[in-house]
Amino acid sequence: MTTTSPNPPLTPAVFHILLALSSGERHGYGVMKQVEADSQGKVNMGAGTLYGSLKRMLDAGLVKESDKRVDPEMDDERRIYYRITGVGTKALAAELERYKHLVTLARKRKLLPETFAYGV
Amino acid sequence: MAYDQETVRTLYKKLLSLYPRAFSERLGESMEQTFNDLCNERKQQTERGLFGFVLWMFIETSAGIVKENLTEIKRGEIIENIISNNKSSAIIGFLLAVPLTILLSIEIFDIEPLSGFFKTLTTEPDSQRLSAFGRIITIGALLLLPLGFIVSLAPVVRNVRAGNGLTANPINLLIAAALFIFIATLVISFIIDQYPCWIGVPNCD
Repeated sequence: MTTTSPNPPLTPAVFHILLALSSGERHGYGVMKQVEADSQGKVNMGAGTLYGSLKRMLDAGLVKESDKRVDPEMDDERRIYYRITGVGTKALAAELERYKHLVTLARKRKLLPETFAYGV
Repeated sequence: MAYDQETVRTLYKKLLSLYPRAFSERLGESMEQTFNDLCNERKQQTERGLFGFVLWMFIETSAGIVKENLTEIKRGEIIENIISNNKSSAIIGFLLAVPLTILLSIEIFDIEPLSGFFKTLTTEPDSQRLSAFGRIITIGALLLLPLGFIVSLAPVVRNVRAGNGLTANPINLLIAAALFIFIATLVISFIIDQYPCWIGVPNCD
């Protein structure tokens, strides 16, 4: 018999979107820019990946749509904003916990560069 | 240049319409805005054309379209939508009967040059027997007929179950009835044609 974990591992795209939304509501373009900034330009998400993931996240209740409004820093077009939900925050925390565990494990096995630099 | 950008935006909007309807209704407008924002950003950042960026966006979005449509097919939503929609099920039911109708019309009315062409294509050389390709075409066209009957009848059955009566979808009922008569005629013709062989009449084929 298999049991389903309440917070299964997230895909990289979902993880980055949740991370981007953890600091506040954003519209699609805003999410893309935040993901780019968070990953120091290493993750360049396209519209297909972003909105495909957002659709699944909306269905799973990880994010919610907010009312349409104008972004004062951009043009006067009204945009839908997305915000992280309680379920999304928990899923992000669980994923970060998994990453933390993996980093600890990597440190123990001396796989991280600083471990090599400073030695035991 | 402004004309080119407008064309690209129109093409992207058309591309977005290939997403499943529910997806496109919910996220299509936001995707379009994001595409425009990215185009504006690139235009400000670089003096060079947007060709490479636009190409990447189109390919990336097309991959998303394929993925979303496959997801919908896996969920069975497309088939469910076809069957639950009276008009689309009637049209698809009718279209599924078209291949066999065309094949039979060509055969019965001996429409040249189509008749000769199909005979060459579907029979063994120097014989009247069906070739492997001919068998595939015939069986395929025959199988589409009951499928068309089921697709066109599904909304009628659903309405009857819901207590709306048999004639709530007259067009679906008409197409289903026509397909049923078509199938029955084919089955009866086949039985009449093959009956002598079943009772052991010599030299029958």
